Amino acid sequence: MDEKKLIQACLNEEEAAQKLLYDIYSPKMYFVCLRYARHDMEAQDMLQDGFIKVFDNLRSFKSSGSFEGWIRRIMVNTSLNYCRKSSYKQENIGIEDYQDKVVDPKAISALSEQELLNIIQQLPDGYRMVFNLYVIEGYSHKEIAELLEFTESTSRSQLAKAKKWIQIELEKQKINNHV
Amino acid sequence: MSDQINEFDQLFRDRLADQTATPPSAVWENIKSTRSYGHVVANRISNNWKIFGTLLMLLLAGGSSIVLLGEQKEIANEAQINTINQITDVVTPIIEKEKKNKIKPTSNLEPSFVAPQIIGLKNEDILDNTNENVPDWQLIASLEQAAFVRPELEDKRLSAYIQGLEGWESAKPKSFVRYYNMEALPKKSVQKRIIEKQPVKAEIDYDYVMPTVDRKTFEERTSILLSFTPQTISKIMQAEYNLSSSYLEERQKTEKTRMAYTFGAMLHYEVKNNKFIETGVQFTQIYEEMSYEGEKRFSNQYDFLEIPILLGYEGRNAKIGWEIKGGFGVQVYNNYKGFILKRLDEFGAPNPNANAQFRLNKGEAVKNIIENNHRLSKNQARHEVLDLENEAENPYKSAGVINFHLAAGLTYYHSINTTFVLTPYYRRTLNSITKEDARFRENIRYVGISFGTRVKF
Repeated sequence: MDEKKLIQACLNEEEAAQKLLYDIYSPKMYFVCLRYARHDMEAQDMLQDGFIKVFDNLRSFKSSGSFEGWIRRIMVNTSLNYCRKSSYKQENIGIEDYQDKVVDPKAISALSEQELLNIIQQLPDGYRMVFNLYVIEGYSHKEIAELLEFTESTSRSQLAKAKKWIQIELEKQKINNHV
Repeated sequence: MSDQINEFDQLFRDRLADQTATPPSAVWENIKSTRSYGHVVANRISNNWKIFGTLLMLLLAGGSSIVLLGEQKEIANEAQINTINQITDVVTPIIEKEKKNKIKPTSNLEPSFVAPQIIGLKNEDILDNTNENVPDWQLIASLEQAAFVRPELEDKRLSAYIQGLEGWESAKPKSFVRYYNMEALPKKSVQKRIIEKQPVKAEIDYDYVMPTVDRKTFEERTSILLSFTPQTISKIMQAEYNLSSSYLEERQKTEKTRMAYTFGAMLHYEVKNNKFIETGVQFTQIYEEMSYEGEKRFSNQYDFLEIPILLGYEGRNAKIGWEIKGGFGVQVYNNYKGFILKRLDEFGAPNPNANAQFRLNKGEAVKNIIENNHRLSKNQARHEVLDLENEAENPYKSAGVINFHLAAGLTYYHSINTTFVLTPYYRRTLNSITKEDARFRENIRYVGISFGTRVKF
């Protein structure tokens, strides 16, 4: 079934088509949610709410754009809403004095995707949102500032702190591996 | 450093952007059970709105036809009946003698269309009058007197009704009393005095039939209402879940709506019991200007044709009357010209060479203020606005907007053929005027005063 027919069938509230759509896109979207969530259960809630929004608002999908991109945007927005509910935006956990160090790309390559995901999930909530939006999704600081309702400079600052945090974690991993 | 940071970003992006993970099967089960039934139904209706719309129109048309065709006869109004009855009450006994063998009782007629003979006078009294040519003034006087008394009748139900009349009603001739009036009485007042025995047709003499008039013709019931309605409008804009509300706030700040105008040509059809139906065509035009830093930057125009169906009720006292009406209308053709502000997240990369950006241009005001022809200013960055004449950019629907109408006001019956109507008018869109993929909802409320003239054929 091609994408247009699948969407049309979903619009007609055909359950088989909705299940098919879910089966196609849920693996990717679940990983998106995992990146924003603190743990698996939260990611599952995000995925569930996101897909409900997808089915409820399928009519508003503009067929000229990418369907996957549209679903992804809904998932990201749903995940951000979860984060907003937790009323955290800015983190200040005393890493300002940590000196910038060049991260060896090999240190990242050496880690599996699951390990990288674990590092991101361990990031403080505010850092995690900005890091995901900027580094993985490719949003600009201006867009992040609008989405999260703070200033661009806050977004930059949060990103810098997130990266520092990751550097520390990578250093720890490196040491552990050596040991 | 910067390159290294970018490399750092890229590494993460490459490794994680397209990764997958299998969610537990319980998630799908939860999605199925959690989706609200309302959304499912709304999706089905909106997906098949043409079918549902057609069915609705057919139902409306069918209902109207039943109402219109259902009425076969119309009883003359109360004032006419009273006059006829009073004359008949006096004249009938006098000419009774001449017709004595010609009038046949119409006791087989339905009680609701007949009246009992004057009680208190026996037929023999009238028929015994030997002077056939000279009116018996004594008899007439006694008839008049008899007509205004409230006698105890054998028919207890009828008697209860007459005794229950108050004020000037009690002074009416008894012939005014009709069974259909009795039926209309509040049960409570009659029941107090009702004696179990019900009236029996055979026991009552009937002497004439209630007058009826023919059903009014289509032309007599129909008039054309021509109206002009200046209105103020207010917009209700809501961002969808994936649009920042700052876009709509920016529009609310900058858009200045001039007054909207509606011209209507409606068919006004009197149904019965002072009810009426109005339907026809209304043309509405809205003009908007967008101002920034106190200056007009660009404008747009929104015209649409609407077919409303309104049901109403009118009351009349001599020349002055009143009416109230309400219903729904469907916009069958929408037309747009000009520009609106583009969504902020669609601006794309900022152009540093642009002389004037909508949000950045300050102080040095735009000299080429837009004319009412909706042309974009030379200094207005094109990529910051949506061209409403370009179908791909226009976020508004071309048809299918449904409006709710409500109006109540005064009528002045100038002549048999002409009536002037002055009604405060309220209208609002029930569904959004935006397309489904616009990412924001926009509803409009109209409040105005309608000046109209109804002209009969």
